[in-house]
Amino acid sequence: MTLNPSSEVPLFRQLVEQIKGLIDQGHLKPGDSLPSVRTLAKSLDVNPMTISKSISLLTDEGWLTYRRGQPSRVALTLPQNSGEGWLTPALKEVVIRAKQLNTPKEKVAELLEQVWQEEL
Amino acid sequence: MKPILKMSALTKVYNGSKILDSLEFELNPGQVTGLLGRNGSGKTTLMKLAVGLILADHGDIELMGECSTDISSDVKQRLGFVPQEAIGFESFTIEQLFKFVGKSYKNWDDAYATELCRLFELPWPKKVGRLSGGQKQLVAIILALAHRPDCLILDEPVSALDPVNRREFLSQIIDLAVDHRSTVLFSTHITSDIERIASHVNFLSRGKIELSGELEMLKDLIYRAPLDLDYPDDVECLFEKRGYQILKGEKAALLPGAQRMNLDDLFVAINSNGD
Repeated sequence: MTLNPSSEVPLFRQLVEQIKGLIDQGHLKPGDSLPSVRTLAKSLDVNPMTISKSISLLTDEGWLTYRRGQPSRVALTLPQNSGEGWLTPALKEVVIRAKQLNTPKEKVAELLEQVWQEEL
Repeated sequence: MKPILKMSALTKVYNGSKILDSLEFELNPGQVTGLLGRNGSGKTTLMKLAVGLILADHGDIELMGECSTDISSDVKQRLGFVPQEAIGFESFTIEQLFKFVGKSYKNWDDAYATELCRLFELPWPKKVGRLSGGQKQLVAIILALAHRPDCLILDEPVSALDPVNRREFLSQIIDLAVDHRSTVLFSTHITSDIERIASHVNFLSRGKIELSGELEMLKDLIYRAPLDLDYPDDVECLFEKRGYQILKGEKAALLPGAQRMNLDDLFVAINSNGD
């Protein structure tokens, strides 16, 4: 995993997206256990609070499960949008920009169609 | 939980001007806190006051439950401090200096000091006076780390370090925080170092702590937006500057023209003249 501390995106969000990516791409499989917060903090050289924040967000969203005294594991049943999960942040970015520019949803769909065709 | 360091109504005057002005500051156990501020903003003064090296004109400072001007030897044993200026002892070799300083700490770990020397590639038998500026800084860092203090205060510890040693230093701080649950306060101008290892951040400006909080939350909730923008009730305006305002709140992300900021941007925004 590579983190960019000076990015505008907080480190815990970067971590969340990267762990989702590892799950989506099959590098982490359902039931796999994650290294401890301490181990992750030390190997990535980031504050343990940042790691805890990412783990608890992923647990809240159903990507990870946690039982007291045990390592966090990848959930056996992944959230609904899993598989496309790594698209969500990019789409979110588009939606935020569209809302900022007051662009209607239909126009965004139109643009998506256009870009989709161009990229084929 | 009792704070490790608590400063209340703290004022320090130099040559008739208030460098710190009724400042309030708190450091809680286990926090790794970055202190940011412009040159001459009073970071060094704050840190020297914290460890009792200088006296305040007004206000109270409590360090690990004791008044900072009258620290017991017990608290000194649990404290580490890296000053900005050279540590002296120029005629000692590193080895002699470690032996000398090590004697005054009950928990001094010789093996750890040696290991740090190896990691930072310091020339063990060389005299301190013959070391480069960066190497001297590393010696000061090791002197403050080798007894694994409960509270570690560092005044611009990385200013002369190369990127490899800087990264190794950050890694050592994380280890200390994770394994020993030490409380750390450090000042630096390299904001990305704070973004990497700090849990909390404090901006010192105009003699006061202008903004403080949990770093990742601040980065997640603070946005820069155009001045004339209307915002919902659950979004708060932290301050207005010439041409833009700094907003805080979950919904700020959706406002037209709102932009996330990194610590560097926030630093510039806080310290720019906007009034």
